[in-house]
Amino acid sequence: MNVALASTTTEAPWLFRKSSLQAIAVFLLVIIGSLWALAQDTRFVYLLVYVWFGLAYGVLLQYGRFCMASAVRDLFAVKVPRMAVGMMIAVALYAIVASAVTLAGFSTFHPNAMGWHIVIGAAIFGFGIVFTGGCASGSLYKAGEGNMNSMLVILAISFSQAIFVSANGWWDSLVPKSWMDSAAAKDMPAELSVTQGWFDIFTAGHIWDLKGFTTAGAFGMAETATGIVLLNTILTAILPVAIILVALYAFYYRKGYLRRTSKTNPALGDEIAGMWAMCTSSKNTAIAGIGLGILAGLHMYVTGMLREHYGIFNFGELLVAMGYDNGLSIQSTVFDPGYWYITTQEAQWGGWAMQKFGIDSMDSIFFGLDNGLPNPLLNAPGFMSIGIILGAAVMALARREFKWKLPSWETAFFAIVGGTLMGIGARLAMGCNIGAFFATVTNGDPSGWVFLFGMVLGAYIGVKVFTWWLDWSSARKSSECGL
Amino acid sequence: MCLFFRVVRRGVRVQVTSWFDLFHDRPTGIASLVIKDVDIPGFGVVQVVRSVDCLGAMCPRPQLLTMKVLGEIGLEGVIEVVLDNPTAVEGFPALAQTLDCRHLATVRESGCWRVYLRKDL
Repeated sequence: MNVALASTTTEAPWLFRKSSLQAIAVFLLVIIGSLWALAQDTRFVYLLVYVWFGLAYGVLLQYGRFCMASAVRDLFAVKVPRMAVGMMIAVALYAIVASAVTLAGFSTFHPNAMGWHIVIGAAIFGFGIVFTGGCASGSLYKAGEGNMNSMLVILAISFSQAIFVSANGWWDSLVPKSWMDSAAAKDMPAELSVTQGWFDIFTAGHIWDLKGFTTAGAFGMAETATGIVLLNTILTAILPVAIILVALYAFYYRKGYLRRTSKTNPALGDEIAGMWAMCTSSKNTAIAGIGLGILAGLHMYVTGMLREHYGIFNFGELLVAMGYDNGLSIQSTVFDPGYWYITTQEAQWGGWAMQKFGIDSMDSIFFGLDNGLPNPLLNAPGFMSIGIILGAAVMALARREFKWKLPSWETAFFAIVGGTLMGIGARLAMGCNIGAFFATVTNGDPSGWVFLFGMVLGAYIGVKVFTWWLDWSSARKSSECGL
Repeated sequence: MCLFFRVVRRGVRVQVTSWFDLFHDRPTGIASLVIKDVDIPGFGVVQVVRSVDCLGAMCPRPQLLTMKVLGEIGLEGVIEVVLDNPTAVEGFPALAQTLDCRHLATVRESGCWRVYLRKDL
């Protein structure tokens, strides 16, 4: 995009600008923090991998203004396919790198359980993102740009999830009896009280009875190269990406492109040129898509290698070995996906803060059995989220795009309501658009496409409601002016 | 009885609308009618007929307001959109293509961007 500068006065060189110095200061802070952590214990390198990949994700997200919320929302709101194209490029690249990582035997991926809960959760999540102006990772990088609205969204996502996964009350009786029976039959430790709390009964009585699979796994070829490349990468990721790109071109881009290039009778070559023009129409976004795809794959590789090096399956084991055993789950584990993930660690922040205020949620399956409630200073994926904020801040400061932005009452209200819906949706669907879509489809798990379908559905309804609100509030404003 | 209900209904309406007024303490997304000449770097002087103030607005508000304003102006009219949301700025050239208008320029100022669009078709 060509951006002109308004002032013609000569500017200070990049290095001497105040914002550039601040960018360097933030970057140095991360380096010094990393060195300090390594000085405490070199095994913290496992946590630092999350920090630095997070930082790189943040830099790239801000560089490409990579907004996955707009990928689905803009298709309906303004009929612009720009970000949807960027996201598909990232999916294709991640899938290719993930394929290589899986073939090398370092994949950290686990498929999600397939079921209706994904559609429902993703639709709630998709509805929420229209009102918050960003998805979970989008809110993190926008927070790094100084957007306080996005910071509110992160708070809402954190606390709504923490409350949703642990609260119990009269709504427990809303679950089907079969879930309750199934949960009770699981013979879980009494301290988890799996038959109390809606989300616990839902997890133990419903989710655990569902199957999660990769396409290769479904055909019994999970360990074979043919299965990984042909079924997981090509059939589950590359082919749907190609179909979606062709559909985006046909429905959103083709007409305008042909008119702009004055082609009335396009040949196949013209159509391919049009597709290429669509993919490269925003260079920053395409570059960010390529970078994010490759990095997300490499992230799995590096974590997988470190796990092998230390002989562990989960960061919890390393924490115990280093002498930190607070906040671990009853299996001595913590949340440690080994790849790009956003929402669960934010739920842990919320749960940890609530615990400090005396509301303990360790009797829930989500925290007590699976993810633990570690101190945020020892929460490895949590540092990935902080890394995204800091990476985006470095990039925004370096490009002089950092600005503290206070929300208005209206946007703050939308941030809290939308963020709460995003949190609830993400937990129902077992992840957000990163953990439940981006990381799954690229690793051969078709449940991610179900998530995308649900998210598109929710975003469609969200756009309708948002447009109605905009019309209503502007009509009210103009009628007031007329008085 | 009837009067009582009318009073209650009116009271509720006043209460609800004043509650919504809380949100508009710092209005975002105001499309004001202006006619001014702007010298766009690399393009020349153009007459701007509307200016859309989207400072502090989150997506998709700037995009939807722009669509609305473009629908209200005549052919060849130029509008200015003032933004401080980098993600929204990035999307405007692509938005212009979809909305059948031409993206003239994006001018960077300290703390905001001014995007100029001309309605073409």
